[in-house]
Amino acid sequence: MNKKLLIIIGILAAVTIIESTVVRNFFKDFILPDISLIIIIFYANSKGSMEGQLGGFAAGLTEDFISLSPLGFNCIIKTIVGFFAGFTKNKIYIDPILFPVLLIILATLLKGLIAAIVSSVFLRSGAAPVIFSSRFGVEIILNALLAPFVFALMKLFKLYNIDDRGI
Amino acid sequence: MLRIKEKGRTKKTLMVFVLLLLINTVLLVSDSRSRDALKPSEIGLSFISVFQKGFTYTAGFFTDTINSINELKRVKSEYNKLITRISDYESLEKNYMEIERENTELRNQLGYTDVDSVDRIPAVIIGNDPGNIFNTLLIDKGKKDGITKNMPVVAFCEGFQGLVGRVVETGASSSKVLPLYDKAFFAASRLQNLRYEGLVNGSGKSKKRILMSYVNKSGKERISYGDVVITSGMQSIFPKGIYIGKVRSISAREYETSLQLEIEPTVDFSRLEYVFIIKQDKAENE
Repeated sequence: MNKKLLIIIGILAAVTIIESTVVRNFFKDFILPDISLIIIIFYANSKGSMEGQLGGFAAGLTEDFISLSPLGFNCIIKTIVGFFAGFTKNKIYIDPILFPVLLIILATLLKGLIAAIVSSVFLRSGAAPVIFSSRFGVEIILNALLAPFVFALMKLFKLYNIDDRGI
Repeated sequence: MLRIKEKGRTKKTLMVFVLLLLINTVLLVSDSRSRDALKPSEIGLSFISVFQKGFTYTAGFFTDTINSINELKRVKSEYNKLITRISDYESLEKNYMEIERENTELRNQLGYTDVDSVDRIPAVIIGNDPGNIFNTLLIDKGKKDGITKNMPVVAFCEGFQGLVGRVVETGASSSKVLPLYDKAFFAASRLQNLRYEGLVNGSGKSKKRILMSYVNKSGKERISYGDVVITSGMQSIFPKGIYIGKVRSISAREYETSLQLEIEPTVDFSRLEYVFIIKQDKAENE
């Protein structure tokens, strides 16, 4: 495990906790954007599938600990999303706005689809039709709007290897 | 050489991916909130049903959109009529609230309260669910403070003791609370004045809308906007008499034998900071 992966895992855990406290207080009854998902996508895109899935696993596990979701629910979703996002490494050039938005829309859709499948198969109460609700549509929009800012912030902290990205 | 190295890395990544998936599956299957037993046929059915739901919801969305145009015209004329009726009801509600409050104060002065005789543990809400799928409230009290699973959680809102939810998981110094607007929440309830009983559960869609089901259909003409709903205490972990909310709408389908009421919770969850956990013998363990 390299140092940068540990830093990202720390950031993801911190972001999840901040989302459940400060961000939730700010958004009140409204839908929350998934900032940790955006960070996972950024990291997977710059470092690859291995780092993407490990980051996703750590972020999902933190979320499961503080949520009423069964242990493993968010974990499996973010592991899979991180793994697949890693395939974009060196394949697409991330401009400041368009590609972060497109990438995050696709990632959120994938997250919703996996959430629906996992909850249908494993959950007793079945929170399944999340992906078919207007709430999910709002989450996609929020994530897409936030993506360019989070990507820019991550670039500012230089949490990727320029060589790795092939830029 | 480079290609061999790349192949090895891909293989390693895939192996880790499969391992992580296995860990996640084991965690999910072993968690108490997951299903008890998973048969292969159930897994297949559940998997396919996700896509079936997708098609049904998409088709339903388009049909509903077309139908909603006609519906809108009808709703607009009804809306104008109802707006005048609501202003009448609002003045009635204000009077009712004042009488209610006066009554509570008098009961307190007479030492006539049964709900107030229970022990309450104060707690602060330290977090909510970080996602949008589940609803969780995290409080700063746990096993060390005497909190156990299934203890009722209440809050005081404008002088009334309103139901917040129940404790579902306890840590050493923090606990998870299932709020009443969650779909998995159920509480035996009754209308305070008319005494009709029902079952309250969350709609899962909004913090400002919960449902009361299985209300006797004979109450259709008698139940009205603003009627107060309280816990009934019938075979329930919640003591009787805790305010749940007020009736906001009544729906009665001809083919159903009971009514479904839409309730606005007494507790304003968007401003909720402090709660109280009720200590009672029944709550201790499932």
